Amino acid sequence: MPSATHFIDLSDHDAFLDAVPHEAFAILRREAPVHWNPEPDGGRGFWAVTRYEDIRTVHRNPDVYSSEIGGTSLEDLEPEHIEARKAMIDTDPPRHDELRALVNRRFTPRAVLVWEEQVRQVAREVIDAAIDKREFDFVREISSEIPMQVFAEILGIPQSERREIIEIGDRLLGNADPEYAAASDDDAHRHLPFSSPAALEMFAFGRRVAQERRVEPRDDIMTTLAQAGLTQRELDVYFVLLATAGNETTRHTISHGLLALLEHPDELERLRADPSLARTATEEMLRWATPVHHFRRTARIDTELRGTLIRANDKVATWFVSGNRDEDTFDEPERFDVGRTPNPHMTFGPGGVHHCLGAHLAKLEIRITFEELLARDTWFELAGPPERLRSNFFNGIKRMPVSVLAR
Amino acid sequence: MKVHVDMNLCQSHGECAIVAPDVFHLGDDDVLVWHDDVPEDRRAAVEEAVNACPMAAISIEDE
Repeated sequence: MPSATHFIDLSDHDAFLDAVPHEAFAILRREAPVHWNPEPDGGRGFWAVTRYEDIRTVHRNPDVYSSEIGGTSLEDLEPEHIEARKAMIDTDPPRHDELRALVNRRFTPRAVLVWEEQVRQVAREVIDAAIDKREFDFVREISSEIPMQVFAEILGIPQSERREIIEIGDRLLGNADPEYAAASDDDAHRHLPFSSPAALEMFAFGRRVAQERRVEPRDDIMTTLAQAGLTQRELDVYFVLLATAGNETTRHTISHGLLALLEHPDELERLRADPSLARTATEEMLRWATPVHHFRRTARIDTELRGTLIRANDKVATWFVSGNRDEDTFDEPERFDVGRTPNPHMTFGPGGVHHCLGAHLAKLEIRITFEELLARDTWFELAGPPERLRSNFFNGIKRMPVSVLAR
Repeated sequence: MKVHVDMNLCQSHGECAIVAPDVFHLGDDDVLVWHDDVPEDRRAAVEEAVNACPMAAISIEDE
């Protein structure tokens, strides 16, 4: 019998600090695919679900596994805190569907394709400006800039203020990282997204833009939200959700995508030789990066998963980062393969009502970023080690110094 | 084979139209249109669409 310490503690942010613990996830998939993970820091513990098929089952059955009862983060919150920070992602149907319908039509494949030329223009300008610097932080100059510039247009935020969104977002999502650490363990901020006071700054930003759009409507998402008859709280958390989900996730995928190409020169050469692989390479970068490691659900009723009894109100953490490397679903999951087909990764979610709203936009941004990076007669090498975000939730790279090489 | 889509579930994600563009297509106003009678040699593509649909809205009805 393996001892309790045989398995990784997935509640420990430090376990993700040096690298994603892929080997530990492989052990869980093999030996304990529905594993009880205590939370030594005071939480009540959660079921860690690590196999692809089981994660799919959880997400496709919101009647059994709720997003709304306990929210989607692992934190144990009082009902009033859950209610106060509840955004679309923390709701079940029918409320989820009402909130999503407000903006859904702006993210369909057809709607997103309209942005292709603009995304390419943004990518060209951002990459050219960065390359001129010869040595720079790839995260700051490229992978954070392209998604934020594009999304500022779609949301309706002035370009002059986009870095402010990035900076607040970094503190919000870096709530477990000492560099940003704003999350407090006391109760003062538990009613706020990520238990972070930075959320208040994001709220204020969103309120100001929404107020401007009420006076002067435009064809953008902030106008839609401002006119939707949402309560102040609903508008606040909707803005936080869009401003972070539409920005940081794509950023980290682009950073990990570059890192993967630098670490796999054969795959880089393959992609250069055959640019038609851009779409499969994009999907593989999404699988490889898995920018969001997990989402939590809460069992609504007593149920059974792979023969394990899950009690009503138990926390269930579904680890996409593990599902994306499941040997039963992917051939050679540890191989970075820019031509991988099929590639049914769960980076946008494994199906169900919460499937990523911005999936098509993210794919467009990643594909065009790499098409433009690879089209130039320059390439990059690392000028120092990438600095990882301390987080068991987000697979973030804070900084990645690179220098420009002539090819 | 017959292809069925539950339009009460469809949210116009368009994943089916990516994996089987000859069968599924997002038409005007992003409403899904599809061929409901599909040649057997396209079964693999339709099965991939069934699997890819985030809403589990697509099913195959064998004759």
